[in-house]
Amino acid sequence: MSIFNAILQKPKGIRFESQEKEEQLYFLLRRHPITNLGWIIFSIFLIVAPLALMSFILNNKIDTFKYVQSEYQIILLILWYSLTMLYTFESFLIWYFNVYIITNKRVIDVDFKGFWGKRISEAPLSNVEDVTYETKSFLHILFDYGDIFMQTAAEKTEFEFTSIPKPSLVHNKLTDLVEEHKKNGHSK
Amino acid sequence: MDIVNNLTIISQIEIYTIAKWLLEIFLFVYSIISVVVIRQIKFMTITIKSDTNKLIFFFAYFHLAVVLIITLITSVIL
Repeated sequence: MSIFNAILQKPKGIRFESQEKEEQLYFLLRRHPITNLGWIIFSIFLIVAPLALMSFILNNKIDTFKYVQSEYQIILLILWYSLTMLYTFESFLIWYFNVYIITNKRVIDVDFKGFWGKRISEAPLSNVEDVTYETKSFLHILFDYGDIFMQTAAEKTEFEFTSIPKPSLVHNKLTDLVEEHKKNGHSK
Repeated sequence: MDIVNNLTIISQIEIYTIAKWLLEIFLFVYSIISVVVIRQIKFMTITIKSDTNKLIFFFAYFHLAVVLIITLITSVIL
């Protein structure tokens, strides 16, 4: 399913806000799914914790109704799971909407900042001067993901695509695009 | 002894009243957060238009529905 894809090459059915008519989307990238492991494990813990607590209470025959009314117990349980749902959903949204876009004209970095807004940075390919990629840990090598750094001639001098899958493939394609773009000189 | 018992009952009632109010306020804030989540998804789907956005919206509305049902259940039960 494309909803969980972290690397989409020439994706169909996807457009972005400022896309021009003749602008082609080459890559839509998200952080590698393995980077979600932290919040996924925490969400599983949040789901399992009340169940574990309940089984502990039942096994030890502790009468919790002496301390907290049954209605409150049910509502606290529902609240717990709703907050778990909110946390999981929000974590997923942060991953889903933090995207890096590479087109035949520019690179775009969309930062989704949870409840508080978004930040969009972009640089035309003509401004890209140097593209470097880096894999720096065991997990990076194991799951084939890493960071891409782009030096640009603009005010914002460096673009960083963090934890993207297949960095070598993206790096190759990006350098090809930059070279092609500079050769043809169509920077508009 | 009766006075002590009565005082204990009164303080228990007060604790539950406070707890109920806190719960109601919390649920009210939570409902607002759920609406904010939908707003932010709308905001982001303007930036990135995708076929899968419908599924994200479905989850967001489902989440809001769950929160509203909980709020309703809370106000009925307590």
